[in-house]
Amino acid sequence: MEGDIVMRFWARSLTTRLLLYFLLLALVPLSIVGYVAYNRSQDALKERLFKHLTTTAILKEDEIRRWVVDETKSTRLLAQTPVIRRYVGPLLTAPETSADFLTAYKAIGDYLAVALTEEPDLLEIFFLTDVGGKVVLSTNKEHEGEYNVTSTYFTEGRKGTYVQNVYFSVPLGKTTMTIATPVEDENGQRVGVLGVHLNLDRMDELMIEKGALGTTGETYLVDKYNVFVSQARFGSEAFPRGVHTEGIDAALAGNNGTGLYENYQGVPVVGAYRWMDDLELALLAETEQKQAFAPVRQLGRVISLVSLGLVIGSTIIAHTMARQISGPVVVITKAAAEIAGGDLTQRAPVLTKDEIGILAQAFNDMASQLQELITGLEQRVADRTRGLQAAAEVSYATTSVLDRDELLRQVVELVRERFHLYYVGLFLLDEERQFAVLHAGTGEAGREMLAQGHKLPVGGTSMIGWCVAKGQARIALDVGEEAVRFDNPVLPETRSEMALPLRSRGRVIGAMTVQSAEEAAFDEADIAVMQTMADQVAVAIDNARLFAETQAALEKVEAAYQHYLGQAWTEYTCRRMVSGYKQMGERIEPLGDEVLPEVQRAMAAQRPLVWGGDDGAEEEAPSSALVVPIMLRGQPLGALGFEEPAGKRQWSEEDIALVEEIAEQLALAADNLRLLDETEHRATRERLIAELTTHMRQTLDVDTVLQTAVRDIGETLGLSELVVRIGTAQELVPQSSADTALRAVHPDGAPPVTGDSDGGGE
Amino acid sequence: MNKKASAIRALWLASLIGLLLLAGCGPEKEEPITQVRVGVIAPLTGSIPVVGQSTKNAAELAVKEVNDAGGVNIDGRKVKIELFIEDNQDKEESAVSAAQKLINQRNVVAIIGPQASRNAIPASNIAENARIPMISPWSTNPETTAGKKYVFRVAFIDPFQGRVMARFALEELEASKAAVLYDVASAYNKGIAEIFKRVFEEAGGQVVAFESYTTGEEDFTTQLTAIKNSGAQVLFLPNYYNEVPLQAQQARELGVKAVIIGSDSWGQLTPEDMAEVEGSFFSTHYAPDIASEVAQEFINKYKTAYGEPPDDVAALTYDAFGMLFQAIESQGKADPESIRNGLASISQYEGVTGTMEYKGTGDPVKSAVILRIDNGKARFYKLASP
Repeated sequence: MEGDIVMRFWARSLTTRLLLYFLLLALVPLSIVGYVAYNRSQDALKERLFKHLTTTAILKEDEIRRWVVDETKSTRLLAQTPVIRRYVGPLLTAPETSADFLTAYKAIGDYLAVALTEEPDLLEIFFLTDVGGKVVLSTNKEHEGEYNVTSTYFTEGRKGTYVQNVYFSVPLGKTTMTIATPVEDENGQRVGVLGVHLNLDRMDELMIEKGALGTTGETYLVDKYNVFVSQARFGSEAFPRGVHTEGIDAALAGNNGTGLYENYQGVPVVGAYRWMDDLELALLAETEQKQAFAPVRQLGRVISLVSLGLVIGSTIIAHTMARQISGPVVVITKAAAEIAGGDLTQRAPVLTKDEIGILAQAFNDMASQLQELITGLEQRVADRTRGLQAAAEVSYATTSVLDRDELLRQVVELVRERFHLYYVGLFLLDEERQFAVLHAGTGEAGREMLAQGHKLPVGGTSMIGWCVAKGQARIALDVGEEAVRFDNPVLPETRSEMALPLRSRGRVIGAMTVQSAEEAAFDEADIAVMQTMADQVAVAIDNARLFAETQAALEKVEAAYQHYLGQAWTEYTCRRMVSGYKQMGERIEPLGDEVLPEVQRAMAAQRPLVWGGDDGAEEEAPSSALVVPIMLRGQPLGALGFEEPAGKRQWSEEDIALVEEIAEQLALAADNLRLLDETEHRATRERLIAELTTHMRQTLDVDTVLQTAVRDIGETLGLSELVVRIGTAQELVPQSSADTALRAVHPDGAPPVTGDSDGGGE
Repeated sequence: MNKKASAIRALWLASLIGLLLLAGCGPEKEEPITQVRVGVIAPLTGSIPVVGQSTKNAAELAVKEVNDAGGVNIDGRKVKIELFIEDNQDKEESAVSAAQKLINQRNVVAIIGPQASRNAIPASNIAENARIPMISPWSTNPETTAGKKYVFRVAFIDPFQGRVMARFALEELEASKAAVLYDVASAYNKGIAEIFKRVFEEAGGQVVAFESYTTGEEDFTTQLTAIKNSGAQVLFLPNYYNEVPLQAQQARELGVKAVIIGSDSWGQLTPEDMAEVEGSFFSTHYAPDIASEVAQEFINKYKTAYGEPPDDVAALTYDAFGMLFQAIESQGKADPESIRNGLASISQYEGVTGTMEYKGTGDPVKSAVILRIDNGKARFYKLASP
């Protein structure tokens, strides 16, 4: 997860990245320069050290050579010392028990003892007999009596002065060099060999001069078998298999050179090595790398410190630069993020004049445009919403109004008000669809033009005429290329006009003109809104028209029905013996033909009438009476009358309502009974006809049929005289007369259809 | 993301382990050895080159045998022997430098030789100091191994040999007066001469003449005259084969009648030389005419290889290699310390020169044989057991 955060930080922080790039740019050359400088210095120092060490080694080599030569010379001189020449004859030739020998032994022995103390470079001085190489006299008494028959220094020393190079001497138990020279007696006769073992520790001391090579510098010698010449310095136990280093092995291979390698102690050294072939010695001059390269390390430290300083400095500078570069970008980014988050008012400060400044400016421009665009859009949406809301309000308002004129008036007012217009007028087509007649208009201008009966021909030059003819909306503005000059004297302020066709059920029924005092008030988008509204209005107008027509038709039907009902009841009441009943106490008695004036009045008024009540509605009534007309579908059938002869009675509204309800139920029951009565009456007649028909069909003879018909009809109808005759229409009476005749035999007024269909023919 | 993080961690861990491994590898890991380097120091030149030649022959024969069989068996692996032969010129200082060269530069794990005690003694100091096991086949002087942990020998030691010859002179030859002529400058000669004198005198005999010379001398008239005049019945010449014929010849010329006896340094006498010492006796390490089966096999192989019978130096050298191989195989290792331990743990070795018993020192306890020169040939005369 941490990695994730780091990666994200890396990816996101422009400052960090810039910082790192800057640092990389600074560090890489810095490192390279530092590395090269360090290496070059090291190489230079190394070369100097090599030269110095080589010089030292060569100097030491010379010193050793000189030392050996000096020692050789002094050995030779020693052999020729008068004392030795004098006594060496007896020493080496006389029997060891003889007096001569002893004298010589003492004389030379004393002399050598002094010589040895004066010459610290010598380890031992000894005389060897010419035969057998027996040590006759030595400064080291232990070695006297030993034979050196096979020793090279003896065999060679007999022939002449000989230097035996460094070797391990068993008697001495250490490495040494031995110089041997023949000794002659006073007669010049060789009598033996004088030998000296050199003290190599002294030789090694020549090597120790540390000053020249620093405190860790040293020069030393190694013999041809990898053995340190100075065992005093290095010890003989430490290196059982001899001492091996790159330098020593290279020198023993006969090379002179320099190198960086580990010395015998495993310490890294800078070394120069030389092979002294004549002495069979390797000479090494070495100094520890740690000390030798200290100046370079110092330089390295300085480089590192300076680099560190530069790194810190460049980090600060790089950070500042990165901030300067990334700052404006970050600000823009923040602003962009804010805008993305919805805050369109955010702007990026233009901090620089470079590309980023331009970017910020461009960004701000973009943001402004975006804001304007969105604000405009919102405004337009609000406008549209308002338009649609107004249209909806208009539509809603229109649906509740069924009276057309009222509707038209309300529409124009609503539209003008809601859309903040100067004038709205509504034209409807006349019956012939020749003219669009102004039916409603707002304001004084509307009234004036209505009064004038303002109308415009369909398809004329007027906008309304065009609009109605084409069934399309049209806009006229007094601006732009299609500027229209409005010159209606009653509408002087009109600057924009829109004509909208009123379409209902696929038919143009008129048009609406909306006019604004503003220039260029309408556009195509407004048409859509206004047209929607106009369409709603058109439908409403059409509905109002249809409603009015339906209402008229209904009224006609109702009138016809009432008329029929009245006629039916008139006939019914005529047929009835009793037209009403009257309750007087316990007694119920039929009413006569007389009709009380109260009843007549109530029926005429078609509402309940009270007499003698407190309200004094009908002041002249003799007593406290209530008359409620029995109404059936607006047709009075009779009346219910109540009288309180004993005195005054207060008829409450409840009483009246109750009575009215009863009267209504009574009317319905009575009408039902009437209808039942009529149905029974008709059923009886139908049955009679059926019987007659049955009788008539029982025979196949026409005469019989006619006779049966005459008889049955006469019996049924109780007629005394009846005529039945068959023949064609032309043969008998004209059509109109027959019609009349038929009507005469049907006094109930039933439609002649019944007779025609059931009769089968006359 | 988790995956990436763990991948990064794994990478770190891997590099860390890698560093540790890098730091860890190095000197600890012992590489299996591919060869066993053995040095030989022999007097190929100088005064006793026959000894050197016999050494070389026997060494090469022994190594060839082992290498032909695949090498020595080290922990189930066959490892070949590589031989480095250095000439010591029969010189002390050369013996030392040869030892130094073999140890310091040839990196040998063991040294066979030198043969003559005068060479073996100085070389043994070097070997002991460097802690490199050394086996001298032929050196009989006690000083070679005395007080040394890494130095062994195959031959019996001079006190035994001197005693054998002293007793032989007393008992077998029934001599009561003996004379000795020896090289005072040579450790071997001097040592055995002194022991002979001591033992002979202790046993009741009388050393009537104890004459010396130094190496390289060719005129022994003075010493031999003294011997002749001493009335010695036996003349002991414990000198190297290159000097004995001359000394015998001069003795006879001077009329020395004493029976001449010698030591193992006579082993390289040629048949011609033997004519000079006809009828003499000398002690030595083995007698081809009583050779065991093992010895006979060696003799045959040697003859096949070099066309002549092996002398005592060759036989001892062969045994020295046999012991070295046994020590390596018994330890399963071929480093100097292991070889030294292997050699020290050998208590008995059946070699071509007889049975050797080691009792905690580098010196074996073994029998000597006394040969008689009969018609120019050295023949087995007597076995002298310790």
